Amino acid sequence: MRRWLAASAALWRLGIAEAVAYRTSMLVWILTTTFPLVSLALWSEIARSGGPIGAYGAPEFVAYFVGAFLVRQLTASWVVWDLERQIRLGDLNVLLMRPIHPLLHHLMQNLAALPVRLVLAAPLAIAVLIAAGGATWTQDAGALVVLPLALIGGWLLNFAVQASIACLAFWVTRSSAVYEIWAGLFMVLSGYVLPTSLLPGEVATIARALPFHAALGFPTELAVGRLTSVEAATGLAIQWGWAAAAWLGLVWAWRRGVRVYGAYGA
Amino acid sequence: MGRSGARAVLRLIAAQARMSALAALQYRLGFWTEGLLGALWSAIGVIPLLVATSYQETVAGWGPWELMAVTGLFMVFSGIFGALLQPALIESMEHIRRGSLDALLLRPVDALALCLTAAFSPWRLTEAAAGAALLVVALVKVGAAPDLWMIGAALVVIAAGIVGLYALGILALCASFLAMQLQNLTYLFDALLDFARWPSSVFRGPLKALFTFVVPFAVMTTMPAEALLGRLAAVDLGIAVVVAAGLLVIARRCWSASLRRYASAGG
Amino acid sequence: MSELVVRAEGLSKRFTVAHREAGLGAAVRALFRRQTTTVEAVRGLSLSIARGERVGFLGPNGAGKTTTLKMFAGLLLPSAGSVRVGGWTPHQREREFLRSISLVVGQKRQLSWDLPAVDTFELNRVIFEIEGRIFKQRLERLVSLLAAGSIIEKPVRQLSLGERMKCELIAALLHGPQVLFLDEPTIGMDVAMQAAIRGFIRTYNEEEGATVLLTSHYMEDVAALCPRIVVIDEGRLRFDGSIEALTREISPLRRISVSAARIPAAAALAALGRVVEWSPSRVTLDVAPEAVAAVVPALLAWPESRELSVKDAPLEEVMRALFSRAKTDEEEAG
Repeated sequence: MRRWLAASAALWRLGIAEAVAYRTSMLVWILTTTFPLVSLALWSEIARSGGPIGAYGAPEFVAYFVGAFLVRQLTASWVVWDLERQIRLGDLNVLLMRPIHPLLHHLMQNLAALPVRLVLAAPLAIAVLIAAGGATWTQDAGALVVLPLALIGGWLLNFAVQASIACLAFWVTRSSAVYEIWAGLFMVLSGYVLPTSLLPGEVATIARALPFHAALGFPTELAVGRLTSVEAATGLAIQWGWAAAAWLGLVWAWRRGVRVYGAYGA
Repeated sequence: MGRSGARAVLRLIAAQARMSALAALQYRLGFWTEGLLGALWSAIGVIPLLVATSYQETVAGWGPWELMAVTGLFMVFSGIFGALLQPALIESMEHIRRGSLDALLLRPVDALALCLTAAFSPWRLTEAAAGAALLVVALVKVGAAPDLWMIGAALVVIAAGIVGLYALGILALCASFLAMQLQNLTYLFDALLDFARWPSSVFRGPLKALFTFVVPFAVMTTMPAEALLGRLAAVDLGIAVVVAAGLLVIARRCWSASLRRYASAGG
Repeated sequence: MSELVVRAEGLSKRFTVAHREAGLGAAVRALFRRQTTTVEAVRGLSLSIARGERVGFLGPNGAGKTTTLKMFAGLLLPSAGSVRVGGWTPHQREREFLRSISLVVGQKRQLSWDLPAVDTFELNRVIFEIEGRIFKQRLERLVSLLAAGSIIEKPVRQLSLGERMKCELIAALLHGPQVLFLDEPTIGMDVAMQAAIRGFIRTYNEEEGATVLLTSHYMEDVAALCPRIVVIDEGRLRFDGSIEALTREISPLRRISVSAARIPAAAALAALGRVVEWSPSRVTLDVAPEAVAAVVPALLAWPESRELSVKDAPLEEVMRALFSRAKTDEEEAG
């Protein structure tokens, strides 16, 4: 256990150093995730000119989408690109030669970038909040306790889904194409372009039980105080359930994959 | 560039297209993901707007099928970008990163033409075709009967939009000459393109100006739709052409400057 | 003889690769049904290597050298046969096994690209659980052996190919591996840098008693570094022994050169051996080994005869002969 912690800490330090070295490119990546901020412009304009939509007026849209933007930053992962490339080109060899699990390397790399990412993203969120005239956040003590768990759960879910999809590269070329499917569904069903509760009737019920909503919409709604304590507890259970399932899938795919690994290149 | 130069570029494009088509066929998954699903995802992007129209009759003055027409145009541009421009940009940036651009620059053809045809992803054209079909269906549903003038105006604005798209692509390429870390600008561009899904009238103030003059998404999707629906003001047509021409001049200047910088840096 | 570090028996590796014919039609057909073939990269290889040996793997591209090395390092699961390295089964990738070996691949890097190499060294210290004092000693020693003083503190992207390899070697050796696998370590380097890296590997082997396995395209690498040569071609073991034995087996002829005041015409020399080079003042002949005793006195009897030398055929030619012969055997067998 101590060995494991020491290795994680060392990987984390290296990850931070790398994230700082790549800050310019990270800023560009953050700008690619500003979609919620433009959704904000769209929806608050619609709500302002034509009246509230469902339970959302203009100020609620502002709070929701700024929240979605920040949650996205805090739960971000990009392991699918790195791991897929490493498997495809044989760069995974380097990680396999180390006496620690390669996935631990990726976990810490992704985790290490979070603080840097947040520092870069916060000014943007603050600027939008000032421009939009501020927003309200949850004051509920229970929600504030659950929120960190929801963020961790969302991050674990994102990471495991991405890493599992990357593992497909052990068998097929270009598994990142499969990730496009996930990303496409994520756009519509996660609450990224509109709060899932606004989807029509049954669609909303189904969408809110799926992993996409668990990864983004649920922590966002929790943060802006839109959930009762019962809803928060159910949401957390669903989210951690999906995260556990994704991790099981990842472990299975990894074990099978390493056996057929071709160690291409060179 | 003389006539023989233009012919050389055309031959080059044909050769590169053939190579890319063969490479694309190697990846079977690409057919399903980039082709069919790509078109589907693109269309799914209209859902937020449909949800909005289920609460209100029109969104910023646009009815449901009118929004579909905008979505169709968006798919055309997204398909063109994904099939032609983005792969070429990524490939060229890869050349810059690996230092293999020199070999490209030594070829007896215009360097910019080489970079802009360096690769292409044929599957993504499915999306453009689907978008064109959606546009026609939407126009029929709306009951629009565009005359020749309207169609002509739409084609002019679409051409201006494509020129603007390529100008921005060239600028992104120039930026990656400046700093390797800016290579992911093409993904930023991809993400920004999503804003072209919506009629530009939903944006106000600075965002509206941004999407008209700097990143002219309005020129690409909103204005052609307006032209076909008979709502495009003559002054907007002028703006579209001027913005596209302006961006092209700036991009060409930046490109020459970047090449000079690259040459004097000595690789 | 000391204990065996590597023991492989009947080791085989098969890959399934997709392929299709050229042309658009074939490409479209491949969309729906993919044609695959099985490639036998390594076929029934048996090999033992003792502690402290330096062994060079030779063979043309695609011969199976790298595949073999990767099975030894635990990166590939063998399709058949068994391999033990230092008492471990490589593919199980146990922690202690990974701590006792190292793999350096000429074209791949483990160093973080935009950070100085020392940062990766520090990471390896923790990951490989190297004690602080030993880490410091080893780092100093490796840095001085490789004359890598200032380069380990510059971002890796700013280093030349040779400097980068020096840092890669340090990163690979900090944990003091007992078995070192090197895959084309000098690829793309200039002659001086190749020699420096070779000298370093030899020193490491001699001082630490580590076992070194090396694949290379460069004959000089292998000839200068490895007392023992293993030739692999088309996945099979073709030869296992010393350089000299390899040369004699493949190309038994001796190459004799001599200078003299006046060299007889080439046609007149055919009785002595095959003329390789001829000028009025110097000649080079390939001569059967049993004839050397008779030919040398004959040459020395020429007027003003001097600078006589007897050598084995050059290694490059030996290899060419070996691989072309391997091909012919195959064709005859098939």
